[in-house]
Amino acid sequence: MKKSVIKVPFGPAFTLYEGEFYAVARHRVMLFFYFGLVCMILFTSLGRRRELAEPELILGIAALEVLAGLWVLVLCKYAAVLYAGWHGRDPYVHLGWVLVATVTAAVGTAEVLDPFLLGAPRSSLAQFALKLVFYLTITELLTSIMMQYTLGYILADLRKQKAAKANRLARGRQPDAAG
Amino acid sequence: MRPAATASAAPTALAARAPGLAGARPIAVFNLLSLGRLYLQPGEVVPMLTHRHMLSLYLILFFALVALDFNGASPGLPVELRGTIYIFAMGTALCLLGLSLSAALTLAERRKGRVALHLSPVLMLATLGSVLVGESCFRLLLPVEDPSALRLFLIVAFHYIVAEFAAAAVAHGLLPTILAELRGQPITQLSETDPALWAPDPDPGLADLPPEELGFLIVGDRSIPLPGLLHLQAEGNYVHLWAQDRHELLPGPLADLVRQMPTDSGRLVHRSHWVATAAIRRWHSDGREITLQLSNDQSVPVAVTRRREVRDWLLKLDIPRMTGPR
Repeated sequence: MKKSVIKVPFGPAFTLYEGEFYAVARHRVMLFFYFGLVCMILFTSLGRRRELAEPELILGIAALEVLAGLWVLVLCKYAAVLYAGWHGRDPYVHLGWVLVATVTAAVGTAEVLDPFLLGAPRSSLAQFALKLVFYLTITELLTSIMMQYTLGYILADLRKQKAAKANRLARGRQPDAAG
Repeated sequence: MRPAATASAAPTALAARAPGLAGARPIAVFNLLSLGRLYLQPGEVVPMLTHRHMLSLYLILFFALVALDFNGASPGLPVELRGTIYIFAMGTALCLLGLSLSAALTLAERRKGRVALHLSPVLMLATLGSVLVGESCFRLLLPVEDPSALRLFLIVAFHYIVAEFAAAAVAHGLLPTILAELRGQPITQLSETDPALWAPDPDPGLADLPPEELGFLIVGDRSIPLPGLLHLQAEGNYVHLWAQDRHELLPGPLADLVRQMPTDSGRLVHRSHWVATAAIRRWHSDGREITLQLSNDQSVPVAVTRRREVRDWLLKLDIPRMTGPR
């Protein structure tokens, strides 16, 4: 059975069996988490750039920045799978490093898009580094806390559903099964 | 019941499960201003400081600090820059705290024994480092309004008092839960973090117990050591518990408590009575009635429906039998 390992920042490593990676990513608890995270980023952007443009424009740019981070996240996942395939091992994803890449991409995009589209002043290298540290710390902490508190529940939920599905299939194969 | 009150019985169980915790293990004892003592063992500092409960606390504390920013100059800075300064300051405090705790544990390891120190100087060091880093960062980004030594002293004093209160709250409220999880022991109070409580007991009677009989009966927030347990008797929604050193009335039902017992530690001989194997001294058979005599001089009736299986069990255990009227 195919499996992959996810190492949570400051936390344990979870082993996911085939198909579970995507199932975890689509789980209702994770959807709440994405929604909360995106809302937080959007509202922070709105508060920061209120005087520069209309809220719709600011939110649109913030959405692009979040999207840039998400693309990097997906790329990192594919890179981990490819790397594991070349070396004949199970994929091992250290979520901490993936988040470093993701947040760097999002903050970097903001540094390009904000001055270009909103006319915001360009940050110095030190300011960029400070912003990066701020968003990285918050994202790593939030992700770690959220994953440690909920991933056990999510996996139990998924495996319970899997077992129920397998049972239904097994019952369906029985010659005397109703329906 | 607290393990501290039953140090003779409770420790044996878990020390046998985790022999590494026994006696000669180096321990650092940190005395708190709140009159508590925190006992740490090597390898526990980093897992404790990066536990998910602690991470949640850092995040809440961080948001609170950014929201309640008292620095008059800070509103001129965007939230990302202000926040990063607090991240640096909190990071410095945590690093200094972790390093100090680790240094004390290293010293304990070198001495192969206990090292005791007060947590307050460690907190003072962490606060001082944190304030210095925070102030330096602010000075790099913004002109200082009042760069006097008195201002710095007052800031350090304020943060030190906050740190003492926070440390007391965390030590008494959060650390027992975290250490219980890390050590796998039912620690509910700060005083129960002392590994000596869980060290082997010299009592040969308890030490001879097989491993499956060692452990705790968990009832609500109480943990009762299984060794020394004699008899459980249901009474309505409550259960009477008799052990070698106590009698307690616990919330039931009896079935929930019996479910926690290791298989060979005893038997439900009646709908309302569970007896420990080690507690039965002799049994008495008078016609259809079987009565068990326990080591605390209690007599326990055996249910008629369970008579056959209990008789076989008693014969298998080779427990002395008395026949005829008592």
